[in-house]
Amino acid sequence: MKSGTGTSELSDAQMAGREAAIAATQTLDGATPLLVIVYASVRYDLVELLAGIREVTGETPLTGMTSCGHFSGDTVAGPDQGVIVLVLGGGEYRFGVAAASGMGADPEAVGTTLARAAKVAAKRPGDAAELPHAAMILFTDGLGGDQQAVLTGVHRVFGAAVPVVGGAAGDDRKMQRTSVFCNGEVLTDAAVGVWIGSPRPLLVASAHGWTPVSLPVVITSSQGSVIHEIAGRSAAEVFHELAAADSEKPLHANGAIWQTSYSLGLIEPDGGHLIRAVFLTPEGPINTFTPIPTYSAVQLMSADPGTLLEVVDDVVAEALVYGDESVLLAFDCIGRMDTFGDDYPAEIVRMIAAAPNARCFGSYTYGEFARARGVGGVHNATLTTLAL
Amino acid sequence: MTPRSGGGSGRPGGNNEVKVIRGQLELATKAAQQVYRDSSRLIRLLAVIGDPAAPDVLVDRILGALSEVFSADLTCLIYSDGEVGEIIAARGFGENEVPRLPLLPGAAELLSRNSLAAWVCPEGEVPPEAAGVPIRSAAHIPLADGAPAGEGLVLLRSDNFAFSLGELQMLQSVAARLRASLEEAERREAIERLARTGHQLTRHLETEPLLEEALGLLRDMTGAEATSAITIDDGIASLRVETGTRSGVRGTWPAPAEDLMTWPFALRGEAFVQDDVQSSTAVSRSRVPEWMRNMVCVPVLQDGAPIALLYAGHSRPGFFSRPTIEAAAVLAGYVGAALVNARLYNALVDSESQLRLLTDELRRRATHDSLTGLANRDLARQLLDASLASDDTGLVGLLFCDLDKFKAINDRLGHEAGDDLLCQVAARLQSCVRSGDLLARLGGDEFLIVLPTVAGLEVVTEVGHRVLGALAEPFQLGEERVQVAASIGGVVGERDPDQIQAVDLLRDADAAMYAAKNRGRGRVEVFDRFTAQKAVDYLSLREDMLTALDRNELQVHYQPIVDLLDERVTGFEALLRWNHRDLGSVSPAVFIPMAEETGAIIKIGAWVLADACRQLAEWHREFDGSLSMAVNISPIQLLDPAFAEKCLRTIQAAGLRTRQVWLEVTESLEVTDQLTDQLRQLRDLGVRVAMDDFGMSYSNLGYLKHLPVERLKIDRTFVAGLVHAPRDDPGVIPTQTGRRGSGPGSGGGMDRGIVRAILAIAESAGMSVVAEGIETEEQRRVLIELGCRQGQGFLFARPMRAEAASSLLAEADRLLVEAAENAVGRLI
Repeated sequence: MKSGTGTSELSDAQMAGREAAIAATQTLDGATPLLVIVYASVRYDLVELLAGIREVTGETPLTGMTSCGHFSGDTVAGPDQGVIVLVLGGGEYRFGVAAASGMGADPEAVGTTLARAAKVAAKRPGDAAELPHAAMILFTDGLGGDQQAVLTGVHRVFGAAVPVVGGAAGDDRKMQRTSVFCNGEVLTDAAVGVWIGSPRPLLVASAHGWTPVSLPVVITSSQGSVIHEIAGRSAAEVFHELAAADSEKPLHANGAIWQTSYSLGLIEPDGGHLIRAVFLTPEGPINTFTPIPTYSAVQLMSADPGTLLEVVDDVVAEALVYGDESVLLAFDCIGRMDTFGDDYPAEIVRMIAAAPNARCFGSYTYGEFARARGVGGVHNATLTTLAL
Repeated sequence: MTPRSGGGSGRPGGNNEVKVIRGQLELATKAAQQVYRDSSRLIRLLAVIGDPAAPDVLVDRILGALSEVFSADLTCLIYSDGEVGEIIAARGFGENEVPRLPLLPGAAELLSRNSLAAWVCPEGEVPPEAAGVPIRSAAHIPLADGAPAGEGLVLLRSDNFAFSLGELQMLQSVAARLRASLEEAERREAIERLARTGHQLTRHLETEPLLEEALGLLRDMTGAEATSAITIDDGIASLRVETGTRSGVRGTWPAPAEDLMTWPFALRGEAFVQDDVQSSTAVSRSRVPEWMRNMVCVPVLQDGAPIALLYAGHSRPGFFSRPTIEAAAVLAGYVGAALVNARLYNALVDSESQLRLLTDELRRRATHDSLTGLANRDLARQLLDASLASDDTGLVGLLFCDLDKFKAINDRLGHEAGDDLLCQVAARLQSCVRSGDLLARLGGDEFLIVLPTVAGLEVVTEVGHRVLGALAEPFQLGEERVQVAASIGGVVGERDPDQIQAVDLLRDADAAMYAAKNRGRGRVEVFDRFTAQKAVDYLSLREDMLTALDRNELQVHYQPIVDLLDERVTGFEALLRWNHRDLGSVSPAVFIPMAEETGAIIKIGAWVLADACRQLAEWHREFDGSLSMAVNISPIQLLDPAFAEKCLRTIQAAGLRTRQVWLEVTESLEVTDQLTDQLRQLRDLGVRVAMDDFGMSYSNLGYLKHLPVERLKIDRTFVAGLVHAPRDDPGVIPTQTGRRGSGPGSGGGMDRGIVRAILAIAESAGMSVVAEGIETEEQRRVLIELGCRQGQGFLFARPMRAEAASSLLAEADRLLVEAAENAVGRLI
């Protein structure tokens, strides 16, 4: 698999897109482009931006999303910083891109619709038999509702055998409007998926590096992404108590609006945790990016740059199954970036070091997807990867 | 708390103690984590189960939740019966994969046996694949304990974490609740379905299928292990349908409804509910199977009275909840409406069957003769049309048989004998026809034989003679043997529906039959198309004759009878004329016999007499009171015993005296006592009788002696023969002998002798004489020489309309006045 990347910091959307795309295709080493992945700051006129890119990449399937920063190799851009383009070409994979709208109304239907359409879109005239393995890259509107339901829809179509990786779109921490890209279209309240047909099994990896710092508690009242009560008491009150009992860590490091030092961890069957980043409001309720059902058993989770950094090696190693992968697609959480503070590129450096032969390409998201076992696959404050 | 919390200890050896405490704390934390995790899972699953949903939605949700909280790659609801496990619903297989359970190494029965079990792929074994996922860990949790077969949850995982005992216990608890929740959901759905589809029970028009579907709904709603439906008719209960996994109500059926323990409740329209029927002492258990504990019976009512009972039974005491029983009562309402509907329909069907039978009978009656059972005219016509339209080769033959003198037999021996004769005739005729031929009775004494395929006329003739032969032997009617003959007309028709149809052939055969009858009784006349057409024309005209009077096509013309010496009009002969609407003037020689054949002459004759009398009276008033009127009378009219009386009334009604009217009868009249009586009666009344066409027929004095005749009319042929051949007079009836004129070589001597003889006879008998058909002065002269004083003919005047005759009379009056004036003038 060949790949090329390009970035641009130009202020003009179309120019920026064009510049990044040209750079990406130039480094493709002559291979036929098969898939274009774009991460961009919401500061751009996104339609213009995509038009600029497609001036270069033409009808090559395009996908991606708005982000809270992104990286390609050691080029790391924080929020509000430009656009990054990855072009994949050649190789043994087949790609198909499709989107579906209506996440707010029926996220599961969005998942099933885009899953079916993406698989169909991957078929090319003259293709022999369908490739035996597959994975899906999924981008969703990060503020669009129930991310897990989209994953459930995808899972319903593909079943357990097709792992899913991806992320929920960000908007440079503005929390106003996020978008996903499908060819020339900029979509909100929507999700877009890339079907990847593969001659060999594809694995998604994930790790977070958070550790529990409290005894388990039960969420006794929640509604969607809002937790009202924990253990029968005010959720915010309990949260503060638990955090205070742990240490004197700042709750809002680096000016983040969400908790950078603590999160809630849903206890998993194997004893592990699904991380749910939280942000507090003065009124009291705890807000999450992903709904936590009532009666979920959670623990207060704590993290620091050190522990977060430690998991990078494991995630990369888990993703590089065959050793000949040339691209490492990574989905990192804006929460992790905030925890790292100004030193957030260190994580990318660590990633590059762990995957010296693969081009690392990723974005900072409002939620990371890694569905490998079971239906569940939405993470927060987590690093998820897929290597091609 | 976690190992990272808290600080170090200042005391020597404290590190170890801290380590121990930390270790204990970690264990406690893990234990708490485990407990919370399990509790959380359980709560989470129960929350899903408790959320009301349709059964399939509930299953899907719980499978999703199980996959999520147990990180199971594949989750299924299966049905296992000890031999196979079959997937009912699944998550994780994807849309394009047919869900199949993997064959677990070392635990082949785990998924087929309905029992709680867990499995981990043994070391060294290749994990089996399902949906492209290697399966390393599995658990099977039946929804119901102990049953050899049933539904169960299956969780399959790609990691090799074994399901712990605690997890299995939790799953067991979830499964039991899921089962209850599913049953509840199914019931709820059944009730909703009932509300949605219960009215569709009315689509069943037969009782059994209706009750079967009703019991299916009842089972779905209640979860009953056995359901039964009993119908009540006239107090008798009959077991109609049973469904379920176990035997239902017991006992012998049918049985008196009042023997049922549920009956008193049913009469009150109430459901009968026994939470544990086996332990109850209040009711008879004779019809309750031993396994049954909880029993419900809801009555199906019509107009407040039970018409059926629906039973539901379960082996668990108190199994049926109150809402379930209420739903069953709702169902009973639907069943009641549907049963009534079915009964009404079946009643309708019964009546329709009756109607169909009746219709068939009516159709048979409409196409068959009720007396003989033969086909009737309609059916014969249909068959004839079908034969003419068929592609068969050959011709279609038709024979029309009319029994001769049947009416006389009928009148003499009575209708029953007549009917008997017709039946016997039918039987004999039947023996004359071939298979495939059709014998029909058209009504009265008319029979028809349709020969669908004949070679030609000769075949038809042969059949006709065969019929005559069959009728030759006398018929036994009661004590009497009767001889019957038939007149038979036959025709053949070509198969050309455009040219000839049944109605044409029937008409032709009818004409042939009339021809046969006219030739004498007991004959067969078979016509070809040309002959038939002529006969048909005749019959058609004959038909028209019947209505000619009503259509004002008949007129009375008057021919003056004059004094041969001075040509003074002494009277008139009324002559009937027919001006046919299509054919114009029709000869009396043609239509008078028709009128006589059909009997129309009676009405027409009366009309002529009335018109002539009225006209004479008018002329009497206007011209000459001595004028007389001669009116021809048909022998048919004289058959009417009241004829004389009717004549008298007519004459008197016109204001005439009977002596002023002559009734002319023909010499061909058969002299019977009745005829003689009639004429004498007329004579006694003052009406005078003239013998028309005298000299042409009997010509014997004995004939004249018997009849009260006062005038003889010399036939025109004798008059014509007095000198030489006369011109034709289309208005004069030809003689039956065909003697028109004397013809060449006949000379005039013979006719003159005859005329002289007639005059002599008349004179000797005191009768007057009128010569007919005088056309020339020579004839008049000879007649005068011979002593004949009155005559009529073209020489004086043709028959004319009344107006013309009036003018003639007026002219004669004027001439008379002139002559008188001249005479007076001369005298003066």
